[in-house]
Amino acid sequence: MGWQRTVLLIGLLLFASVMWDLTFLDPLIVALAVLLVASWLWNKTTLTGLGLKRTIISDRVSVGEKIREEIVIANRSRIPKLWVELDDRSSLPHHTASRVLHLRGRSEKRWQVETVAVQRGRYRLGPMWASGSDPLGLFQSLHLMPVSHDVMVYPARVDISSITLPTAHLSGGRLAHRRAMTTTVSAGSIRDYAPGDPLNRISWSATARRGTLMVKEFEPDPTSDVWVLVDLNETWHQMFLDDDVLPGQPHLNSTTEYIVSLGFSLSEAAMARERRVGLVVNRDEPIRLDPATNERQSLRISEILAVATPAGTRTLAESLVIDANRVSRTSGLVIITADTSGDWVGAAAGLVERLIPVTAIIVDRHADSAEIVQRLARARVQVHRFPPNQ
Amino acid sequence: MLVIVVLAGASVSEVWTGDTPWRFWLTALVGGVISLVISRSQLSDGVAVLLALGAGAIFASGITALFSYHLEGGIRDRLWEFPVPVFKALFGDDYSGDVRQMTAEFLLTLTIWLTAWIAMWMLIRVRTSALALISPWVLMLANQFISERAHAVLLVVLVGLSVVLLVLARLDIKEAEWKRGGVPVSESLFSRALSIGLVLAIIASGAMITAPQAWSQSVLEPLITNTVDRFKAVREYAGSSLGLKESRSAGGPSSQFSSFSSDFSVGGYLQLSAQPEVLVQANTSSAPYLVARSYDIYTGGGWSSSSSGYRDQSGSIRQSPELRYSPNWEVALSQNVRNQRSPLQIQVTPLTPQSGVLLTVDTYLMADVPAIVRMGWISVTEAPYALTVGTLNQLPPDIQLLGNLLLQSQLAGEPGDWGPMATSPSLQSAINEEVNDLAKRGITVYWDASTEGIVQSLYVTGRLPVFDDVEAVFQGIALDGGYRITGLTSTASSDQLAAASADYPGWVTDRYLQTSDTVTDRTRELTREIVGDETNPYRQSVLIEQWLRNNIAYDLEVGLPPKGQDLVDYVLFDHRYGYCEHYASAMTVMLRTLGIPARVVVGYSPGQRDAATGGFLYRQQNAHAWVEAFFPGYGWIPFEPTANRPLGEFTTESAPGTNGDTTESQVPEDISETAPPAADIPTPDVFADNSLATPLPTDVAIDGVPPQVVDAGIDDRLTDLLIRGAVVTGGAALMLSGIWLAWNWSLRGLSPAASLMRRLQRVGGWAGVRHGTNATPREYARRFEERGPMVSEPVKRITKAYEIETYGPGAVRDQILLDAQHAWRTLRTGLWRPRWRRRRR
Repeated sequence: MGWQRTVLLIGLLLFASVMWDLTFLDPLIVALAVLLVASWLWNKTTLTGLGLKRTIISDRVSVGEKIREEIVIANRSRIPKLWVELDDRSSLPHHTASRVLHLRGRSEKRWQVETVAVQRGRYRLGPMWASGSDPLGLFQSLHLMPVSHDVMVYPARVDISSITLPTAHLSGGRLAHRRAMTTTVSAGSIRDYAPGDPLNRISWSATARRGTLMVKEFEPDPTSDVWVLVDLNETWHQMFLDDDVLPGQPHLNSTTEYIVSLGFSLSEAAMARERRVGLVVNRDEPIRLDPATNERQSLRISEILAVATPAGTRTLAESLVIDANRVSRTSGLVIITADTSGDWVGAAAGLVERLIPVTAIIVDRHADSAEIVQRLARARVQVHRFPPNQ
Repeated sequence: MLVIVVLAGASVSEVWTGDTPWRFWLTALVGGVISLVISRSQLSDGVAVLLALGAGAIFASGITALFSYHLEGGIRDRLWEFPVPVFKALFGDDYSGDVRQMTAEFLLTLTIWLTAWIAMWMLIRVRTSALALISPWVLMLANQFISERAHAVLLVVLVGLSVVLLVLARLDIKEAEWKRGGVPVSESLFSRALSIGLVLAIIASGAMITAPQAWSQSVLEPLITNTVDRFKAVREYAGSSLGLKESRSAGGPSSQFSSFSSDFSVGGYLQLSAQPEVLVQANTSSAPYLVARSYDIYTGGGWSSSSSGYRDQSGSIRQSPELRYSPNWEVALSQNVRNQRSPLQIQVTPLTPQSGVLLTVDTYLMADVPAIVRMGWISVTEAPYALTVGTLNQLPPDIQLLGNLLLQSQLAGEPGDWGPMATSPSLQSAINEEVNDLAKRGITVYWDASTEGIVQSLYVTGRLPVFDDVEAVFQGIALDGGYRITGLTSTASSDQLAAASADYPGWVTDRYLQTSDTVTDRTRELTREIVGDETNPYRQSVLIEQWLRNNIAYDLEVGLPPKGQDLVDYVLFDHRYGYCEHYASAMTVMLRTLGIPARVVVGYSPGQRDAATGGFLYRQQNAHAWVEAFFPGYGWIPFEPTANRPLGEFTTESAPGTNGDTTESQVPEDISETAPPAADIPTPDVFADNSLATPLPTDVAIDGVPPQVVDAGIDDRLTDLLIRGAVVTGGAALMLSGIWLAWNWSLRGLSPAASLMRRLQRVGGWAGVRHGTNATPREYARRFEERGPMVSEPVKRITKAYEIETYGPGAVRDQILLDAQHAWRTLRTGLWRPRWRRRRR
């Protein structure tokens, strides 16, 4: 019964008392009025003096990992709060920081929240709405506590053990002319010994020949760059029906999630092998990252793929023609798409003819891609179909 | 809840005047427990309802049959015998005696059962504590309304329990909501909520206990009455100005009603408030009628008094018609009037400024404060009174003392100025003193004696008060507090009154048979028609009383009769509606046309028992008029011709524990005092200087028009201000109501979220944010982004609630809805701020 109804009730009782001489109602009217005023005063104080502090312990995780947060609510007022409802408006799925608390005067309460990230993306933890009311529920108060933090959830890592990263055609005379930080099978040059050089790198034959200590310099292994093309043309993307979601992988519930997660996993795998990774995201406004193999590149790719969503109808064939121009014969290309139209097979075949190794990963839950798999195979494109039970 | 239900049942037990009242709270207890079990069971709603109703019917039948001792046989026989008469009573025409009682008990028991069941059902199945409280509260308040026996303490306890229940029920509902939403609750809140509920209960109960009695009447009633009077005055003025209807008399009878002035006109709207005016303490089980004054002259449109001052024979001194009485001195009523009457003493406490009239019961006897008694007078010129020991008491009281002195004297002395003188010097001195006192009151006497010196006759010239003809009693001094009045109420039976003679004293026929020239023949004919062949005055009076009660409808809004038309004629033949003054006027006039002396009496009808003081509270709306008719040997006997008043309230019963036989037995202990001993001669010593009753000189006399009731309300300027304020407020309220209606009309039937969305689209349209036909809610919300985050954020929250409700799989969560409502309030608050304005391009 809200305060409006209570006021109405008081009015009706007053009317009855005056009009029909029902004076026995008078004490009742007084009691209701006193309760109304007391409830109003109570409600006025129910949210005064509240303070909120949120601390995020880990703010960058991948799907499946935990996000930890500590929340402290303080009552700076002397008046205790019978109950305060804290309604957390975090956008992170399943983040349950909401609580109902009793707070004594000048006290605080803290608690930790652990949430398993189940969906890639950028999320906001907070704000929090505090709501309270008088014990009779006649009045209600709502107060926004605008403390919030951003967290990034990277795509899930999927099993790509069945996929072989493409290797490019490196000619024998072409050296990388780059120094390797570790010992490899390719010794590129020799130089004068410098203090600190490990003794096992001394080229004794050259030392003998030159009469001074010489050390060998090694080049990286003859591996090629990897371009990962993530096709987010929204025409081909769809949610899986519940029955189609693989057991244990509820977050891979759409072609988009599959494609993004595959792109993320392949990029990570390639970088782990010290291969330079470039990224193309095919959408109405395509994203292109030139190959690189450092932490920063890894972070950039993760953050792009964390929030990438299908947009526009730019075709994969168009992307292969335009964006793949950057791909040289020393690079391999991994196409990850849900496009089962086959329109892009020709463009992929053209890249193969340019001696660019191409690997195609088709995310196709319903085996619509059998025909283009055959065509791609004929064009010497290495094909994988996902999910793996396909 | 169970305790609350039992309390409601106990309130019925309290007001129940029959046998075994405890059965009602027992019914509430049993009904509550069984309803609790049924409501908590897994039974479907339909089965549970049928089960509860069936159990209630069986229980009510059983307990009623159990206590219906007039039925024969054991309980089983009674159960068999019970339904038939009850069924007949409910649906047939057998509705008398024990069957009526039995049916009432059955229905009451069933009602209490249903009360308990509804309360439990609402609490447990519907989970609405406020609704659950309705049925016990209705039962409790109904008892308070029906009977004064209902104790206010039950209300206080019920308020306290209801508050605790509401607090705990709210916590229960919130906990269920939190549980559904998966929100952890840090600790048990029950004990804390219980503590706070108890504190609130104490506060509410304390407020009830300390609340002033009937404050709404004393605070609001004057305002309302004044406002209504003003409104009516304006309406009448407007009607008069526009020639729509005849205007009524200014000042209206309502203002005269409780002023008890020396005359009044009858008719016009009557608006009497519930403002308490008098508190009466009396050791009686029912409240008495309070008499203010009576009237003898019918003017054709109202009533006035014929008692007035007169000038003495010299014409130099104007004598007033009142006598001043010292405290506790009785009026010298004749034995003729004292017959078949019992004294009733009451303590009267005026609660508002009074008109100066001392209120009494029936026939005034005495007061414990100085009183001025207005009464009838007779003028005599050398009227001879034979003096013997046996006829002494039949003399006018004023000359009884002189008569006694003369009878005791040997009048063989020298002839004096007034007659033979007494041989005893002391007696002669007393006679001289008394004769001089009488002369001061304008009464001259002389006497003659036999040759043996025995007085024979007393000859009186002047104006003698008629002590049996008390018209009104006024305060002798200004009173700060209350006063105690003793009156004599008639105990004469109908048979006794019917057996009374029609030999009326002269002072009665002189004053109380007057009729106006305006009284019409058809009034007389109707009166004769009503009484038919009946010739007995008492039975004639009863027939007229009954006819008026049965044929004239009660109505407070009665206009004045057309100009020139007799009031009684208008009421009897044209309008046939009226209030007490119309009834009393009609009966008095009709009785007088039959030759039965009658008068109109005004005062208060019986008030209500006031639980706080234990007395009776008389409000302005108790102001009343009725009729008294004179029956020789019994005095003035009241009649109640007004249709809305019950008959038989003129006699009051003594409270249990008193026999009602003697004066002392009827005087409450706390106000009982012994009256001063009566004088040997039944003529009172009424003057401060211990002389006999004497008219007051004009210059100190009360002119007969007591001061009007001073309105305890507000002065005219404030009234005007209030009226204007009320008009403006009313106009504004009307306009706002129209706007509110226009705004909400198209929102009716919409869900809360859809209603919010519709409102958003409206204000969006005003601000230039068009909804369009194809935009989704989210797209529409985006259009607000250019108005800044203070606008777009609330819009998003409203849109979110709408999206979830419209497109989501289930109902929108309360918290989201609350959030959206809060967002709407935020938007609404800032509606006229710059961010809402259209962007200039």
